[in-house]
Amino acid sequence: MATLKDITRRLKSIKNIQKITKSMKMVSAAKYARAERELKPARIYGTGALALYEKAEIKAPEDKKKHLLIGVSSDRGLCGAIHTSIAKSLKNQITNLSNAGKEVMVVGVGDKIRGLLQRTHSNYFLMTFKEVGRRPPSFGDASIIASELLNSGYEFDEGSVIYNRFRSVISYKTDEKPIFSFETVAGSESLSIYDDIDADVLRNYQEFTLANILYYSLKESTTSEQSARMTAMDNASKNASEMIDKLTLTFNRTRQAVITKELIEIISGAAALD
Amino acid sequence: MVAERRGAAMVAYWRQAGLSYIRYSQICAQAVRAAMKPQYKAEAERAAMATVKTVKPKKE
Repeated sequence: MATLKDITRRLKSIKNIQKITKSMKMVSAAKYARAERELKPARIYGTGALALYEKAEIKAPEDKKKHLLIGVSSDRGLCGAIHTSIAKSLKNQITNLSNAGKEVMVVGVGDKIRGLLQRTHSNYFLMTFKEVGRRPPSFGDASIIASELLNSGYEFDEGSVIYNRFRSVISYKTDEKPIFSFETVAGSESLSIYDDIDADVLRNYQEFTLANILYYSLKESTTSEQSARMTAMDNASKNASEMIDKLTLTFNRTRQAVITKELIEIISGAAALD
Repeated sequence: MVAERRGAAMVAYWRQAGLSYIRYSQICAQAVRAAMKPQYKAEAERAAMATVKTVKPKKE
């Protein structure tokens, strides 16, 4: 049976934790509202950039060797299954591609991805990007990431961006968008239906599309992360209040037990004198 | 197939200078932001702030 002091100490610490998780939920709710507002125009960038690939039905040929995986997440935790779902998807893809004999390199946007995959897949990492998630992502961030990828010297034939697509306040889904290399797009048959496409225009478009896709995935990812953090902190506050209720009951029971014990001692002491 | 259609100087001047399209658009956007009126400039500067840092894995 715990002493009154232990229970009081526990009660105080859980009450503090509940205050913290409640305030984190408020902060996440505010950030989520802003992120969702900024997501609407950002979706247009993403769908517009990918429209060419879909309309022209560009598919990478099967025999291409070099693959690039970009996992988009963030630096900060306490947001539910956001980081682990991306890491799980990355691990599966790495295994599948390696077994098919392809060369795979991974790029992590956000420190958590590096942390989760460092132990087992550290030799697949091309580079990591940090300071993601502190402020809402801008197109400048996406441009920096795209520039670094293009200058990295890793000539990939095909790639995909893995991110958490925002569906609603309570749900998100891990999704994947393709990236094609210059040769794949240039060599695609259906490209001849488009007017005025030469190698220079195509290369410009490829670079711009890379930045666009990254911007879109960053925006979706932050919105999903904030909504997941809101849910997680809400659950934590609820659990904390449950624990507080239970502990208060045990505290009162313990308090009464202590008083009863003292009474018994006094009364039996007094009875012994008689 | 695509290379045949290239004319004599179809490569853009900035591409010849070694810039990528992304770097080119960044410079153009910077110029546009610098040309904005003060009350809109602050907003644009704030929206364009980029905070991402690169971490290259250490070679062992």
